[in-house]
Amino acid sequence: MDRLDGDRIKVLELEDVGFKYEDNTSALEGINLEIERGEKVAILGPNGAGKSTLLKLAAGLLYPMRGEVKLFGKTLVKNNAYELRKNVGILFQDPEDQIFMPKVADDVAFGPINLGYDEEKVKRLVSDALKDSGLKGFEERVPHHLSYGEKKRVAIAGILAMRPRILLLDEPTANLDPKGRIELMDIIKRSCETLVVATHDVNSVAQIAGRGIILNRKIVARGTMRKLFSDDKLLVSNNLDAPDITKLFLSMRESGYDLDVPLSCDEAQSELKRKWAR
Amino acid sequence: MRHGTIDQYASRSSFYSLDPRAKIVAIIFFIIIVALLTDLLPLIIAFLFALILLLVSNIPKKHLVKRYAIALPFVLFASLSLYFYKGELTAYAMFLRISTCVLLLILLSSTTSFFDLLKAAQHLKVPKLMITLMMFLYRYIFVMTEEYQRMKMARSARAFRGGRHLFDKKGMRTISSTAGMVLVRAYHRGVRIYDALRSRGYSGEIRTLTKMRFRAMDYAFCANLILFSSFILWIDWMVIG
Repeated sequence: MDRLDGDRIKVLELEDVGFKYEDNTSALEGINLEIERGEKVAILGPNGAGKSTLLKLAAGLLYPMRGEVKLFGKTLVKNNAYELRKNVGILFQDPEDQIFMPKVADDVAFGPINLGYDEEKVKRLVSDALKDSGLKGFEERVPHHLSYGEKKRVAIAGILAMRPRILLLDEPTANLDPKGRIELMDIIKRSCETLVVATHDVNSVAQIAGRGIILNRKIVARGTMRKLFSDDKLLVSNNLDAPDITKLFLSMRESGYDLDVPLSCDEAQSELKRKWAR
Repeated sequence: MRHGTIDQYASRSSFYSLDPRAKIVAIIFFIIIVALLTDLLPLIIAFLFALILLLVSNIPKKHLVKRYAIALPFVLFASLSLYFYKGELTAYAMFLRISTCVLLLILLSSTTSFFDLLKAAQHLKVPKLMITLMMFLYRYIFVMTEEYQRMKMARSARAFRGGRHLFDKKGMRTISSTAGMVLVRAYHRGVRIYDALRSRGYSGEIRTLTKMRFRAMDYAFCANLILFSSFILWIDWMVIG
């Protein structure tokens, strides 16, 4: 970040966090993670790595069994969880779990009403959130009759209407068709300054996240997306994969071509143009 | 937003625009009175009045008949058993009494959206917990039905065709474990929904922006129904007396 040091506000801090499931199997061990305002961080990891659990801990929905979770500089405890949670948005995998009201507008208004805003403000937040999520005109629709992609957008609108200071996304693009995925990624890019995305969709996450961690109950690796995606061994040993375009360039490099490794098609294009121009 | 809803239904029924609280209070009052009636004459009047209300309300006839047909077996069972023990007149009275109540409830439920009914009930001091439960039931019953349908399809995709009759033990076991699965999934979904509620500032009460207004028309509707049902009750007493 180019900002002055005084401007670096820590939004989320995990200090030596450990968590066990009900059957006493360990879900997370010794997690240390700091996320500053404006950062966009990816959490990559195989199935069952504890990505969802990590997000729930960060959202104040679970409490760590070891270590500390700090949100906005305050240590999360049961007493302040309700207040801290108001500033954290979390998008679950299944939008069906997140849309409770019989009408879209009522559902999006659910959060702002709970925050205690007056009617005018609630209405404004609802219409802004619907607009930002491309759901203008959906106010009176019944969630049950929406498509999966639309439900996903209603769920995110319900979160954005609360204007969270940090947004946690659990597999946001899973089960979406390509168009739905592009639309959702656009919404996410514009949505919130500080983002944490847990996902398998490496092609999408490479576009938004600046840095990432690889999680497999412990933090196995951390660094810029470029660094993580360039380490083939690391990815394979954690059941992960790099974006297709990155893999192509990596194998070109191995066969002796002097190319920078891109994370997206756009980056690849400019890299190729640069090479050819010479 | 609210106007949109009214316009949407206004052409279909004159009762949509009434405050749901007015409808609940007036119709429940009417139902209680009808349950108290003993003589045939006032029962016939009440029945005819209910029919007239339904006609005025513009509810599609087909819908009305369908709804009534669901209740009909129960109505017939109650009336027929009285027919054999207490005689003709009591049976007719029972038939008219239950039918009138059913018709009135159809009137209430077809001219009010479920959500409005719940909100009205909340205003009428029905416990919050019950309202919340009903609301979630209403929202998630389709989700759960779909889940069951999917499992049923998966079952038949793997050549299951048991459960055609009650003595098909193996088939029944499969079906009961599917039902158990639906319950387990419902439990897990419940946990996730609770997480979602908490992350959006839920503190035990579902609040919405929609406001209900009790207008002159609502007072008139209540007063009319209460007066009329009291009048019928008076006739009933006069006839017995």
